[in-house]
Amino acid sequence: MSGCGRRADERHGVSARDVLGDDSAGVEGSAAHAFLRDAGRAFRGLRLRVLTEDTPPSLACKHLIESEFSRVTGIDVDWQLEPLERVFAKASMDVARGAGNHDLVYLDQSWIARFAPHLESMEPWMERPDLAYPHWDFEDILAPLLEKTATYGGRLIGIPYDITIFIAMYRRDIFDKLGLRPPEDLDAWLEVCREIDKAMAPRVRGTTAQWRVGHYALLCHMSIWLWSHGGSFFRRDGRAGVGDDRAREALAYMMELGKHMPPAVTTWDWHGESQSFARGEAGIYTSWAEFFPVYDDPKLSRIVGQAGAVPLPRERALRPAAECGFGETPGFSHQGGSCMAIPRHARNKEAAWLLLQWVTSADIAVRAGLMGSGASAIRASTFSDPRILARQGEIGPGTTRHFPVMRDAILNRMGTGPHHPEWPAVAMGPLPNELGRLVSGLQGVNETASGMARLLNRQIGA
Amino acid sequence: MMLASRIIGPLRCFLRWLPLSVARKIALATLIVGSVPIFFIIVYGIPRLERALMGTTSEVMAAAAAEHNHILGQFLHAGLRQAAQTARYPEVQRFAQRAAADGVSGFGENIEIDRLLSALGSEEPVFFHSACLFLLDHTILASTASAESAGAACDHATRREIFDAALRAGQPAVFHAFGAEGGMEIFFTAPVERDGEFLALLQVAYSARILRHLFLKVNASPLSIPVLTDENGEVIASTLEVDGGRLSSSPGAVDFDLLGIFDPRWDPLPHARELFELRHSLLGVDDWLVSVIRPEETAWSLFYLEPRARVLGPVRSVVNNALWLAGGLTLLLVGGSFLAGNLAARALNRLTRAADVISAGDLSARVDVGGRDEIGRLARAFNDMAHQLRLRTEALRAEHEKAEAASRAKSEFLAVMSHEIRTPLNAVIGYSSFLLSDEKTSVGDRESLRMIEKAGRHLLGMINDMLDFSKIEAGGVELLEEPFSLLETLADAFDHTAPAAWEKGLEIALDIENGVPTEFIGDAQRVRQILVNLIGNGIKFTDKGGVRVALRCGGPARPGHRASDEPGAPAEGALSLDSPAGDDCHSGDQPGMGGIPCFGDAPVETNAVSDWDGGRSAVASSRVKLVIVVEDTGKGINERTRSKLFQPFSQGDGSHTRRYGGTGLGLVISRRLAEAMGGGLTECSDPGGGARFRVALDLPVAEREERDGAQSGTLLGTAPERAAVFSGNDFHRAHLESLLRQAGCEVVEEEGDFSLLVLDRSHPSADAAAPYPAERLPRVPASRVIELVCPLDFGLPSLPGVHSVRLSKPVMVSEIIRAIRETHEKPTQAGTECP
Repeated sequence: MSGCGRRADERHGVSARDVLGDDSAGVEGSAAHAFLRDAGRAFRGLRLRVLTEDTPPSLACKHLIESEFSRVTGIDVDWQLEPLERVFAKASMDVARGAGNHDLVYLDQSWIARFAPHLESMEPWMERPDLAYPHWDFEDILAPLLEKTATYGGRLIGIPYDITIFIAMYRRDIFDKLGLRPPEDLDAWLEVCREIDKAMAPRVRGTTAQWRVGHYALLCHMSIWLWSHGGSFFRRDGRAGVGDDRAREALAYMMELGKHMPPAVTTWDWHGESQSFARGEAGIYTSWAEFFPVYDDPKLSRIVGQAGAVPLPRERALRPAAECGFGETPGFSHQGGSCMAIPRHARNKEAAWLLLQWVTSADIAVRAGLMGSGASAIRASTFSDPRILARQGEIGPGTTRHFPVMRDAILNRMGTGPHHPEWPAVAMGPLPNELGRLVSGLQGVNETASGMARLLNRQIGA
Repeated sequence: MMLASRIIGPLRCFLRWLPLSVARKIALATLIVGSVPIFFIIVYGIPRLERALMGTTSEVMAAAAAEHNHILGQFLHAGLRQAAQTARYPEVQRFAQRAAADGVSGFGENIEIDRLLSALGSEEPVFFHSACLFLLDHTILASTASAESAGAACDHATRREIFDAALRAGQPAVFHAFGAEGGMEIFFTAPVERDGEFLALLQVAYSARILRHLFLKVNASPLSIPVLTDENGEVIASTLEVDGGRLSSSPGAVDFDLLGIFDPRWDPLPHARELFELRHSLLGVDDWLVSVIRPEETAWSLFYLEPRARVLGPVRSVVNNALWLAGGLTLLLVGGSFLAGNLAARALNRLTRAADVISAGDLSARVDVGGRDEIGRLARAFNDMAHQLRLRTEALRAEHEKAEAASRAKSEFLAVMSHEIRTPLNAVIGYSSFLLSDEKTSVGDRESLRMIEKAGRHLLGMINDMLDFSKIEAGGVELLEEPFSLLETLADAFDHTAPAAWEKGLEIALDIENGVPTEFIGDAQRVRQILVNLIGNGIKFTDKGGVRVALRCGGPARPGHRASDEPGAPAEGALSLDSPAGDDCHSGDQPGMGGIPCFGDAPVETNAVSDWDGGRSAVASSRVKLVIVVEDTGKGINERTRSKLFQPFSQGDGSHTRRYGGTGLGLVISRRLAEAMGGGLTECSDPGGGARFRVALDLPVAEREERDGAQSGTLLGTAPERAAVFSGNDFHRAHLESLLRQAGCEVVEEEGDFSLLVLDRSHPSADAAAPYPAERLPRVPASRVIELVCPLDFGLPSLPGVHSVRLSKPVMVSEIIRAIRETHEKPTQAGTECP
C-alpha cells in the first residue's frame, strides 16, 4: 500500500534529465534501449491500460513512460492515476467481472490475498527469454518486499513496485532548543512529546498523526503502537488479537499521545499529517518515509533543513510472526508497499510484462525514486546507486537523507498487516470507524478494543 | 515645512537656553528629533494599525464563522433530508401502517426496514448512533440498535420529550439533548405518514461530536475556537476539549471583544462572558476576540473565538521590533552625534582657550587643530589672525615706544629750555622792578620799565605754562601733600585775577555751598593755578557781566536739592551757577558725553563719606570730592571751539590767540593737574550762555579750625535782619542778596523797611555815592551799613554821616556775617578789613 504517497500535483523540482543514467532506456545505444526497441516492434500501436494510485512514484513513471517507453517501443500507455480507494474499487470490479479492462494493476500489500486468485503468476513470465529485460536482476529486488508485498500462497503474483514505510521524523531545531534527544524507547517518545508540548503548545505540539476518523490511515497509525506493544490483529489460531491487554495498552498509549497533538488530527489522513509537520506544528512524529523529502522542499515546507530522520524507538515487546495469523508480521515500521500485477483477464499480457519489467528495472527504480520521493526503492542496488548517494548529503527537493533509515526499516523492522481476502473490507471501514469513535471521544479504549476484536472475529476470525 | 519649522524653532530656542555643552546639546537635539517619529508611531501609527487590523480580523472571523455555520447547515440539511426521505419510503410507510393497524411490533423482523435504517448512518458511521422507527405510543417498530439499547433509549426521559416535541411539530425537525449514554446527541425526526395519517415517527441520532469533527475540518488554526451553544447557553459542540469535552466554568478572568453582531437586536456578549468564564486552561489565553452568528434552522449560537494575541501578535512583534530598531538607531545616532559634537566642541574649546590666552596678552598662543573641515579651516584662520595680530602689535608697540621717547625728549627739551630762559627773564623782571622802585628813575624811564616788566611777566607766565606742561607731559609733576585753606587759596586767586576784571568792569562772585570743607590736604599752589587759569580765562573772554566761582562738595545726594531752590538763589535773569539737570559736561575729548556732573547737579559722588551731613562731621582722614564750577557771562563756547578746548597750544580759533594772547596751555594744564589730584576738568556750558567749567578734585579733608560759627553761615543768636541791597549791577545785586539769605537775613526791596543796608560801591563805572538814596539814609542807623568796595578803592572816603563796615570784594558769607555782627557793635572806622 503506498496510498500514503503524495498527491500528483505535489511534484518537486527533479527532472528526468537530472536523473538520466548511462543504462537508461532513454539513452540510445544502451542495452535497455535496444531491447525495448526490438521487443516493442511486435506491439507497436498497442494501447496498454495501467491503473495505479496517484502517488509521486507513479507520476514519475507516467512521465518517463511518455518520454521514454512509448517513444522507444511505440506502445501507447494509458496510465490512470486514482486515489487509493478508487483503485481498489476499479480493480475489484475489473477482476470480479473478468473484463480485462486493465493490463497492469496496482495492488496495495493489504489487498494481495483478495486479488491473488485473479492475477497471473510471475514465474512463467520471468522464464520468457524473448521478453527478458536486459540486466533486470530479480535477485536485486529486496526479499522482504517480494515476500510481503508480492507473494501470496507461495505464488509470486506481482513485482514489487514501490515501498513506503514508517520511520521517525523530528525537528532538529526544536530538539536542540529544548535539549532533547531522539527517543530510543516508547516512554522516551511520550516524554519528548510532553516536553515539546509543554514548552511550545499550542503553536507547536508534541506530535501529530494521521487520525482521520473512519480512514485507513488511522488503522495504519494504530498498527505501529499495537505491534510495538507486543500486540497483533490476529493470533495464530486466527482469532482476533486486538482485544487483548497488549492491544489495550497500545490504544491507551496512542490516546496519551493524542493529548499532545493538534485537535484537527482527527480530520487528517497522511497528507494532512504531513502538511501539519511541514507547517511546523509538531516536534516529532512517525509516518511514511516518502514524505521526508517534502520537508526539504521550500515550496512545500516551512522547516526546510530542520527535519531529521531516525529509526523508530525500541518496541516495548514484539509478537513473533509465528504467533500471528494470516501472514501478519508485527514490526514497528509499518510498511505500505505495493506491487504491480497482471490480471488473468488482461488483454495484452506480453506487452504488460514488457512494461512491468521496465517499470521495476533498477534504472527506473532509481529515477522514480529521485523524482518520486524514494518510494520506488525496491531494490538493493537502489540504495547504493551513485545518483542516490549523491543526494544523501543535500538539503532540497529530491533529498535522500532518509534513505539509510528507510533501508534499515525495510530490512530489519518492517511490519506487515494480515493478508486475508476479507482484510481490505474491515481495514478500510469498520476498524477505522471503531478507532474513529475512540479518537473522537465517543468511546473508551476497552470498548474500542472489544469492538475491533468483535468485528474481526465476526468477519475474518476462524 | 510648517510642522518642521514649528518644531525646530522652539527646539532651537530651548537648546540655546540650556546650560549644556555643544556636544550634549547636539545629542539632546538628536534624541528629541529621533524620538519624534517613534512618538508618532506609538501615539498614532500603532493604534491606527491595530484598528485596521481589527477591522480586517472582524471580516476574517466573520467569514470563518460563516464557513462553520455553512458546514453546520449542510449537516443539518442533510440529516433532515435523509430522515424525511426515509420516512417517505413506501416500505417504511406500509410497515408503519401495518404495525399501527395490527398493533404488533415488528422489531428486528423486517430486514428491508433494518437496511433502510442502517443506510441512514452509512455517511457518518462513526458518529451515527441509531435510527429508530416509533409508533405514536412510543412502541419501537425498528431500530439499528439492539433491542435493549433501543428500549433503554426510548425510556430515556429526554428522548421522550423530544419525541413529544417532534410529534407536535409534525414535520422534519432537529433537536439536541443529552442521550442515554450521557453524551450530547443531535436528533433528526421525521413523521411517517400515509394517506395523510400520522402513523409513526422516524428518529435519527448522531453524536454531537460530529459537529466538532466538522468544525475541525475547516478550522484554520488550533487557536481558533468555534463554539456552538443552544438557546440556554449549553455547549453543543466545540473544537476545544476541556474536562472531557465540556467547557467548564470557573472564576477566571477572560476578556472578550465582540467583533461583529449579525443580529443587531441581540447582544450575545454578556452571554459569551458568562459562558466562557473559563479557567486559564482555555489555551492559557485571557484576551479573546469573538464573532457570533446565529444559524437559521435553530436557536443555537455559533461563537467564533480567536486570541487577540494571535491576531495582533505578529503586528505587535513587527512593531516592537521596529520600535526597538528605531530606538536602537536613535541611541546610536545620539551616541554618534554626541561623539561628533564632542570632537567639534573639543576643537572649539581649544580655539576658545587660545582666544582667552591671546586676549590676556599672550599673542604666541596657537591652536593645534588639524583636518580639512570647517573647524580645521577656522583654526588655521585663527592662527593666521593671531600671527598677524602679533606682528602688528609688535609694530605698534615699537612705534608707541618710539613716540613716547620722542615726547619725553621734547618735554625734557622744553623743561630745560624753559628753565634756561626763565633764569635770565627773572633777572629782567627783577631789575625792572628794582629800577621802578628807585625814586631816581625818571617818569619816562619808569613808563618804559613798566612795559619791560609787563612784557617780562607775560613772557614768564607763558614760559611757566610751557614748563608746567612739559613737566606734566614728562610725568614730572609732583604734588605736595600739605594742609591748606581753600578760602585763602581762593582769595589768592582772586587777588591775582581781580585787577584784570576790574579793568574790564567785570564782577567776580564767589558762591560757597553751606558745609563745604575749606581745609584740605594737597598742593595749594596747583589748586590756585587751576583757579587762576579758569577765572583768568573767564575774565579774558568776558566783556560784560562777570565771573562766578562756586564751590560744592560731592557728598551723598540730597533729594530734591538744587541750588536754585535754596534761599538766596539767583534771581531770574541773573547769572546762574546752576545748570539744568542733565546738562552734559564736555571733557573735550568726548564732546557731549557726561563726565563729572556739572555744578548744580546732584548728586556728586564721594569716595569717603557715606552719610554726608554738610561737611560738619567730616573727619580728618576722609576724602571728599570738591567741585569747583567757574562760569562767566561771556560769549560762550561754540562746538568748533569745544572740540579743541583741551588740546595743547589751542585757543579756540586762531583769532583768539591773536586777540587775547596766551599759550593755549591753561586748560590743558588745569585738566592734567585736576586729574593728578584724582579728579578732572570738564566743560559744561549751556548752549547760548557763557562758558562753564567744572573742576572736580579728590582731596583729603584736613583738621578744621572752628571759626566762631562762621561756617554755620547763619546769624545765630541774633534777631533776623531785614536787609536791602543797593547796587548798580544786577549780577552783583543778586549775588549779594544770595549771600545775605545764606547769612540768615531777610532781603527786602530798597524801598521797603530795612534795618541793614548793603551798599555796593565797587562798580568802577559808577559814582560811589551818586545812586545812593540819601533821603533814606536817616532811616537806617549809621552803624548798620555795609559797604562793598574794590580792593583798589579801599581808600575811598566813607559816606558822610554813616558808620559803616567796609568789605573788599569779593566777599563770602562768613565775611557778611562778621560784618553784620560788627554793625551791632560800637561804631568803627570804615573799611575794617578785607578778606
